Amino acid sequence: MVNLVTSDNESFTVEKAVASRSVLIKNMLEDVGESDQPIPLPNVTASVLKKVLEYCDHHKNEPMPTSEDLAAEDTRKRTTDIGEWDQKFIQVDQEMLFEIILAANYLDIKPLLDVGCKTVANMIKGKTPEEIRKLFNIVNDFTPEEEAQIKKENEWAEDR
Amino acid sequence: MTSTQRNERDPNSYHVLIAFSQIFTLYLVQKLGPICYVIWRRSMPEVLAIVEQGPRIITWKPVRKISISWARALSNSNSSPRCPVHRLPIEILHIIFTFVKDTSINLFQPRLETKAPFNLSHVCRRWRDAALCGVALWTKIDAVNFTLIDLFLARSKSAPLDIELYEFDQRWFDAGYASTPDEDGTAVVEGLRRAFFFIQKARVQETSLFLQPLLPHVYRWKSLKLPYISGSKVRFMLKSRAPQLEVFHFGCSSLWNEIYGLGSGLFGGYTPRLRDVRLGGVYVSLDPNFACLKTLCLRNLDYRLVLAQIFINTLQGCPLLEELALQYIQFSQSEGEATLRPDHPSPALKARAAFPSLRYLLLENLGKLPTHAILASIVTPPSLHLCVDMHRATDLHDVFPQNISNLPNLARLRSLWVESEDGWCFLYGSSAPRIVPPGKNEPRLLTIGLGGLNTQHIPVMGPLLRDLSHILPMPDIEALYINVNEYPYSADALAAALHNFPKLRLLTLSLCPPSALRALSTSNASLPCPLLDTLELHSCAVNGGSLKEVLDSRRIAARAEQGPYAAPLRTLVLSGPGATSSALSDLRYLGVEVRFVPAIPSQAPVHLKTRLQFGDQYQDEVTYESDDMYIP
Repeated sequence: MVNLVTSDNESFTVEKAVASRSVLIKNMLEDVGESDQPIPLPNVTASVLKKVLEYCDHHKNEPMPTSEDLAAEDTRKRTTDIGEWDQKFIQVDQEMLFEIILAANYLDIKPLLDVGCKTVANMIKGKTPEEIRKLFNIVNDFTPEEEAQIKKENEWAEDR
Repeated sequence: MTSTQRNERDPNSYHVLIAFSQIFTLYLVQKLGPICYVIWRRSMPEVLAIVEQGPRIITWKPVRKISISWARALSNSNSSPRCPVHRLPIEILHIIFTFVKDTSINLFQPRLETKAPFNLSHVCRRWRDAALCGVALWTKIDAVNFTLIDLFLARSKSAPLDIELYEFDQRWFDAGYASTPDEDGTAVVEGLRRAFFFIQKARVQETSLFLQPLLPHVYRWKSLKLPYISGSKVRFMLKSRAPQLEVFHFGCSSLWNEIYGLGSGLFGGYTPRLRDVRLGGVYVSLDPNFACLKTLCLRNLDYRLVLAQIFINTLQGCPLLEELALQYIQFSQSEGEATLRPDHPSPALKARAAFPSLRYLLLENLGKLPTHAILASIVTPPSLHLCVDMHRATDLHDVFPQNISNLPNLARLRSLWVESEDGWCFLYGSSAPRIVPPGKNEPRLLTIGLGGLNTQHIPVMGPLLRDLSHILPMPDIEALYINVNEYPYSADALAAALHNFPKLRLLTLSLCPPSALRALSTSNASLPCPLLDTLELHSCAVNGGSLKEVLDSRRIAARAEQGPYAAPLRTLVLSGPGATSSALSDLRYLGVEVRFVPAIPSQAPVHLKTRLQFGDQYQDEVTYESDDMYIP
């Protein structure tokens, strides 16, 4: 078993197979060897880690992506298809979605990072800039000069 | 106050001026709020100019309005918890953008698809920086954005390019797009019209004109997909070296029926990274350029001067092949059957060609003898998915060689799915010892398609299963699904076929008449499929009497057989209109578990499932899991 301590000082005891879905933790365990010492995760809160561990537990028996898989993925066309379980898992509010993505990035869990990014990509697809801003509560912070340039680009795209 | 100091151009006083202006700006931050941001964001000369204007800036409404909205934007967008998306670092934004870009073309919204790079870069300053500093959004050049080639080439910097030009093809309509609702659920007509317009617009331009501005960048080409080219000028343009080219799809549309060669000087003979080639109606010489190929698809070619076996031998130059598809290719048949049959090979053709990495092999409409010759002359791994498509009805034992030890995937078959409809008969085989419907995304080992059948008058299921029993290792099949919508339905043929499945544990019959059940009864003291454990009947309109007869017969025969070689039927699954309570009443006391499902189990949730225990466990009161039952 592995003991993980979150930024808000909550501790989680999980199977090694589950924790090792994170390449970061896996490498730490390999470096440290057998130890009872808790592993601090200063960039992850308890609520997010709980969600991440739920994902890791569900996928614990799947083979880890190899470097060859990752290289092949770069050459292949990416799809935004998400598995059925993963879709349900990632149905969370935006705040949690982005926290999960950040945690997956920090903990180096590539499949979870992909699920999060695909979810955001699916939310964006086919939307206009204004619709994207509304969706994510982004404010248009372009300078007047940049706005002019964007207008010109839009004209190119519309005309062609 | 500052103009005098500025005009003196004294370096020391200039520094003093900077310090003073910064203090003044801080003062503005406190006093005027957002307007200070205007100053913070400007270069020093601009700051000086603004400061020089003094009090006027406060009353100059347009500037103030812009400044305030800008200031609000800055304060909200970059750090506010109201906008959590801004917590994502740029490298993650790049990943998201790549997923957005790589989504396949939506035929109904080609403009939106094209505008994705623009849409993403027009959201806010941060996203624009991310979009422009990365090249991923700008590397795809296609039929819709080809008039913006210069912009895309500039923004993609030196990154590898993905180029594709799909010309309009009548088959897109024929393929049923006209009846497919788009994502919004609105009528598709408008989307289709727009798609047609844009693709037609692209077609106005010659393909050669489309490629012309891209030729100086041939060293950057990563993929070139020109699958429906109507003109032949392009073939003369592909002479320069393409060191990064990985994917090359090229073909003339079969509608124009042009066939020509690309010649040996293709890409200057230098494509060291080429791994995916799909050619339709055009020849290439399979020289060392193709040594690293992983995918090769050839379609609409006339190789009438070449024996299929010799062709396969030449493919040994591509030892890494993982996918090989040969479709509508005519091979030589002039040397007579004896030369082509691998059972009697000529000395030159004796050696078999080994493809140790082959995962998928499609042989479609090549003719009986060439298909036979290819299947006999290759050695493949056990995981191969072999797909044989014969558009004209033919006897399978003429297609498959007698000795199939070179196709070890066939020995791994444990389940078969057979169905026929509209003159076609399909067979799907898997290594899973359970029914695997064709739509499921599970690895398959075998697919056979036979066309040109007249199923209204000639039963095909019997002969098909008979043929297969001569080819495939039927003794190891454990699950069999048969859906044969044909008339007349030959129960005798089914009975004869079932004797070839001694290890069958699960049999599913769909749309068969009640008479077909006779095939499972004991005949001539022999028990068909003696290990059969589960029988599923979908929309078979069976009655309780015929079911009871079959179950009774099998139970008695199983007792007589004894030992591990016979077992009574334990589970009966009924679904569809034929599954009625009348079928149930006569089944009591037979010790069979009966289940009712709304459709075939693999395709519908079994939420209506109920269990009725009969015989020793019979209960008068039955508990249902749902009110919506077939049973009253």
